Amino acid sequence: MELGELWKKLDSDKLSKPVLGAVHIQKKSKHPVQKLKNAYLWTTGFSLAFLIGFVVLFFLFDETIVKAGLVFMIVSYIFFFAANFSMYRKVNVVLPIDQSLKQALEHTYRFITDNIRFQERVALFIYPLAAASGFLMGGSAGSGNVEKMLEVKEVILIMIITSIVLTPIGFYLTRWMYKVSYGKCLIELKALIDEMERPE
Amino acid sequence: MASEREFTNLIEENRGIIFKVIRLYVNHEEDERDLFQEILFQAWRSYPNFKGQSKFSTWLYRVGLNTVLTFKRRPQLVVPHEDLSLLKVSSGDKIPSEETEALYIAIRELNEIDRMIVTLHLDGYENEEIAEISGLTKNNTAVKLHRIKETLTKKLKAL
Repeated sequence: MELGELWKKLDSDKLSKPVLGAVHIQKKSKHPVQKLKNAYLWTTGFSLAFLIGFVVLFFLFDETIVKAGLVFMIVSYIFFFAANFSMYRKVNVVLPIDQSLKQALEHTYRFITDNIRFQERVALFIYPLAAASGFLMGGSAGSGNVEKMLEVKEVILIMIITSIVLTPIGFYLTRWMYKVSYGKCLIELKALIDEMERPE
Repeated sequence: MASEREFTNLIEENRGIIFKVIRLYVNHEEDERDLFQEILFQAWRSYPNFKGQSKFSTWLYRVGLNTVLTFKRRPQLVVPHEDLSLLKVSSGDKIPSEETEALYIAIRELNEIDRMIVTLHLDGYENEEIAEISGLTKNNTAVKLHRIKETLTKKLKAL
């Protein structure tokens, strides 16, 4: 039997058989892009919760240096909140399907990698600040006088070391989490793009 | 705003295309269901942009392929050519001949881009249309298609 005839038979006997599920339009997508959008919503929520927390802490602590650290955290988290919310609003879960497959693949690949890079950069910025502020607040709660505590050089050294150690840990943890969530998807997308770009 | 009824009717008429795309790229029941819904979602959300410059079936084919190939799917099981007897036949399906099953497996063994090119070709699309849907050049499409057809013919003859 010729290829064309075999195909027609295969199509009618097997391929066009209904898949489970009725024609019912869902409100939500399960596409990786939608998952990233959801992640932005969660991060926006978390940053808002932390922001409120820092504002509350600002009024609980009396020491100027702790207050200064908290102001820094509040400003950082306002930026963090605004950036995440803006990304959440920008994410379009509808694929550029009016374009070619190659364009759709490149768009999705670029979109996911750009967003992962954004989150990694945010992590690099926020972790040292969070570590230092946490240290100051802990010191204030423990010793009752941070300014006096910071007069000891070793304490400042420990604070710097804590930030230096926690920042890469946080950064690589973020990277690892994204690798677990999107690594395979990205590898497959890249392989498809490469296959399309490969000259015959 | 396009009417949901008009859209649903068009989907009902052309849903075989969605099933076909899913069957060619997915073999996990959960993925099948997810992808069916995802293609409907993407098609519905993009339908207002459908200007009717191409046939609805061509447009839906494109939506289906673009969605499936950018979706996060579970690892795909490819039944090797030698294990035809292991193929599952759903109840109610016509029992496929060995030749059609061999073609199905041979197509599934192709890489995903080649699979798209050959299925569009076998469904009667011209090289120019395949190039437009895929984003490949017309020349590259023709060269790839020639090679794929040779591979398929060889595999089927070897059976």
